[in-house]
Amino acid sequence: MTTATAQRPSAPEQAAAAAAPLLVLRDVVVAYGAVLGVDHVSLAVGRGQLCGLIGPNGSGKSSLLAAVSRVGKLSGGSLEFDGQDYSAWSAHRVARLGFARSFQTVRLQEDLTVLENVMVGADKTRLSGATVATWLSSLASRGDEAKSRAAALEALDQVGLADMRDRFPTTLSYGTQRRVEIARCLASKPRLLLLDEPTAGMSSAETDEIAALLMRLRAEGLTQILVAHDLSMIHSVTDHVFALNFGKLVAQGRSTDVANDPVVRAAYIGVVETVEEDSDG
Amino acid sequence: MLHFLASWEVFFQTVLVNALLAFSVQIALRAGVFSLAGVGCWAIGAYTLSILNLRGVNTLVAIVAAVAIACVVSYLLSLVLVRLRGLYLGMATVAFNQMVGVAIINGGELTGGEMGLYGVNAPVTTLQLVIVVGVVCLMLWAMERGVLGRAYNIVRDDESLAESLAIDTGSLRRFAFVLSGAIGALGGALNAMLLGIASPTDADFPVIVIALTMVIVGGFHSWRGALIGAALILWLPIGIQSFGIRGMHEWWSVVYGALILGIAVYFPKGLLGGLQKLRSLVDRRAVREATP
Repeated sequence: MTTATAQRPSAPEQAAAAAAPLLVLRDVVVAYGAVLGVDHVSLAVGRGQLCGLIGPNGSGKSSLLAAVSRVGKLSGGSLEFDGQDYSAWSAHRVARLGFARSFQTVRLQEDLTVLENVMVGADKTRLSGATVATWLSSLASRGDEAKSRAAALEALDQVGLADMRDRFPTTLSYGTQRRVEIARCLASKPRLLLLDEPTAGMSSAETDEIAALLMRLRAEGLTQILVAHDLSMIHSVTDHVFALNFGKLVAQGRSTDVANDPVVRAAYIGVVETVEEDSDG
Repeated sequence: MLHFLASWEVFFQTVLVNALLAFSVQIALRAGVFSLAGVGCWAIGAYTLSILNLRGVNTLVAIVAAVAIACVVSYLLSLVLVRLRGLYLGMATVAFNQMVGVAIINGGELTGGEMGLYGVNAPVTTLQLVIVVGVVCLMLWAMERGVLGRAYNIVRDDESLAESLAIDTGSLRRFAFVLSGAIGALGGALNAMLLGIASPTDADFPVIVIALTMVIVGGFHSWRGALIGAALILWLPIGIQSFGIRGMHEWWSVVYGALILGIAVYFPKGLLGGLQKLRSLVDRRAVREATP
């Protein structure tokens, strides 16, 4: 008979688990007919790391992110989160593992207020049961609704939009809409945050605010993968960078090393300047 | 007042029963499921109740059986149609309705063939109808509010986003599909009780058109829109005749068509959506005027 004491991991086991990567991709392939959008990519993301995913247009960044979150197709390879293989799982099941993601374009509900849009993120735990049960509980339960509301308000506060809660998305600027999307992700209390070009279309001031927010989240221990074209932002916030080109992982490492990698520079030629390491970094 | 209610009783009863037909289509459309299978279930409900009633089965048992059979049929249909979306799904459900119609016509003595079934003896009062429709409205209200309401909004508009937000879109769509069938069957059963007959026309194409029209005119985003649509579409022929214009009743179909065209063009979210838009414009104007 197995006892509770026997099941509890030992200190070295706990240390090993903490040191193990949170997300592991092995030989991931995303094929669109004969074209490989993601071509046998293997990588690992450590716990609490803020990783950048860079590459020119069409390099496979969004396809990889879609495959990782299982919103998009996965043609081959395996995905592992916290030691659990989830390659064959559906996207909603993966989201319940603790994934939250934003998309390349703004995807908010126009007929819901900002608060309601963010509450959708917080609703995650309430939707894990049978639909009939959720439906019947909607007739009576107010406590759960209050919890979703509180989580959404907290997330809105984190992105500095608490005073916009009653506005509708169409009345907000593009940059503000993107912040609402980030708040929606945060309201779900994610373990892994996937952000697909969250600062696209934002002013430099707004970009700085988002960068500061991501740094704060990193300090709180949230693991993040950030897809961005803005290399200066990647350089300023990330711990580790993966560079893709034609679907292949062509470089990885510290942002300055990756940005100065000849293969990466060749992929970006004419677009990127040499990134110099901060004198204080 | 009592005289008014008595003279309009048949109209109220017809609106209440047809509202259930409209709800069955509206639930599916709101969930982003372009299903018209509620009409086939309407016929299943009418025939199940009639067949059982003519064999002396208790009315309540017959209604429960009608709804249960529709639930099972809808669930099985949802498994078959799970991969279809949009117009393809719509056409597949129309084909289902046609199959139900053909089965009814070829059902021999059981369904009465082309003549249908007459002599259903299960009287229903207006109060009973109000209670049944009221309960259904309460159920739909619960489905449109809170966590489920928000989830269905996203499932309807953006399925992959919904999945990324931990919403099991397949389960929600299936639930809407089955509920649509159940409410359709309930409406069909009550219609057979009200009219005393079940006819092969219950699964006919005009029923699909009427159901869809009620929902489009009223607005498919809420059960309230379907209720408004049912009342308006059923009142319209009476209303046009009551204007007393000579020969107008012969043209009512033209007026009907023009009205639907106008609403589809100018109020894509139906009359309810139009009213909500008007209210938000008034609110915004009030805020602007109040701002110094």
